Amino acid sequence: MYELSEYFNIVDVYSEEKKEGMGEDYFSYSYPRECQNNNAFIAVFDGCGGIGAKRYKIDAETTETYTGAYLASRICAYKTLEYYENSGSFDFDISDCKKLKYEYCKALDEINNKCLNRGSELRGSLASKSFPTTASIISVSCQNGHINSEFLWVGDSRGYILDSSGLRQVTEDDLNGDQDAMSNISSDASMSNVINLDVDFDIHFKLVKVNKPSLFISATDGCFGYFPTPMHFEYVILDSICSSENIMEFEEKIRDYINTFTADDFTFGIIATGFGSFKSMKSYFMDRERYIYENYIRIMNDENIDDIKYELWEKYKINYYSN
Amino acid sequence: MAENYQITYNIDLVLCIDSTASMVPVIDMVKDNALHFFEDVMAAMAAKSKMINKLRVRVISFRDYLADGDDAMMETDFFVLPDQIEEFSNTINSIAAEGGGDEPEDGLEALGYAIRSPWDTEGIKKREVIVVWTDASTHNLGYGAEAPNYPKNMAKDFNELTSWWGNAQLNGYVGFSEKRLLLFAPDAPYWNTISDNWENVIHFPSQAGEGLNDYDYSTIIDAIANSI
Repeated sequence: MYELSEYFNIVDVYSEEKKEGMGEDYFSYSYPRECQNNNAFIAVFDGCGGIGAKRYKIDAETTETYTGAYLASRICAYKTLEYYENSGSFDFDISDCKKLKYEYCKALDEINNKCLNRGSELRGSLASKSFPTTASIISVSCQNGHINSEFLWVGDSRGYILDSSGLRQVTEDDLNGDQDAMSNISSDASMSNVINLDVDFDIHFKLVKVNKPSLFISATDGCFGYFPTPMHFEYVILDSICSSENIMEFEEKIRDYINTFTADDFTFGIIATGFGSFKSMKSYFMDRERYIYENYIRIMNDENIDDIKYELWEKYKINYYSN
Repeated sequence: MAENYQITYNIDLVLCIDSTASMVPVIDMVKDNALHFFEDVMAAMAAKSKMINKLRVRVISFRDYLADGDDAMMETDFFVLPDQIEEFSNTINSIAAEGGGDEPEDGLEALGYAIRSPWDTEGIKKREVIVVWTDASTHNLGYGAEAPNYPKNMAKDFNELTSWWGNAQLNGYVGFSEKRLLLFAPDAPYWNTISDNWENVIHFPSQAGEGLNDYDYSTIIDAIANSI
């Protein structure tokens, strides 16, 4: 985690595996030297362990095999970094989708051709995707006090903006069924669109202009999918900021919070812009933290959470989906 | 902050076993796999720190209505595990491979019973998993309808059975997000139609799972556990 230039106060990515060495999440981000310029990016990938459970052998010297999900998240993370480094920034238009899709497909096809086996003979929709992964990429550019952000995503990994108005989900989950963030915590709808080598997929794109200090957050579903409500996820971020004295402490707290709840690998990336310092970021979010606690978390602590959460969600989601 | 709130899973497993005479060479292997399947799924979930709140399993043993009459279909209620592990084990161990008549069996009727199981309606996250072991293709639905014990409320044809499974537009008798179907069945009608067209299916084309190596088995368990 780094405290950086006048443009980017924090650029950080953290990833944790539930089963050491078997994690199917991966990430890439712009290094501090690039952040001295006026742009940065964070990208997280969640290899789909269910539909990507086929194992591949890629090295004749060892007996080691890897799932397609494990390989896909790493390859796409690397290709995203390479794409950024080759031009020094993203294009901030829809051409990024087409170019990245080309790079991902080319790289996944290459690894498929290198594989010493072709996976198993398993058939069916749950085992049929080659090299499936989600993606959530956020690229941010700061110029003359204005912040432009570009969100690119596939699947159910999410991109958020958190400012003094609260947490907003910018991306839209690719799900078969209800996309509501609250109901999907229990329903776990299957994904309708993932990066893979077998069938066509779409990389979605959204540009958002921001004119106040903001956190840009990219997260795999292990980060947000196991809290009782989306309000808890926002509170976890805010409380981690407001109860910390520095960035390292903040990272430790948010990691511990997520670990208490999650049953999955999790990876998040954060870009903070416009705060100047961690201390001022903490001060900026104090009111919002108190508001979320008093109006949502305390109520759910005091009452039966399952009785009250949908009513509170109806109020909360007005801002949450206000893009 | 709701630290004691933990996402937990209620899992229902339905094990459908072809118990016709052609299964004699593999029936012991299938029974052994059936007895251990839930343990392997649980172990894979535990490795991911996924907490199982309730696990239930029921058994459906199937043959051929016209050839086997009253012995054509045996179905149990759900056993709650581990409390009823002995009853579950006794049921599996009591299955004998015999009868069956011609080569196609009434596997679709067994699947129909499985789909209309009294699924658990409680729990934060639910999974409804059906596993089929067979070495044979299936008759058309209704082939055995002349048998006196043929079920009156069975799906009339394959299209109706497909609607029982449901899809993104129309919910069936199984939860759209909750359902999983695992087939250890030959690449034969209608099993191949199901694996090509139904959602959330894993099909290992084989004679009741024969030839399944550790590599494919761990892939299957990972696919089930990771999608839970």
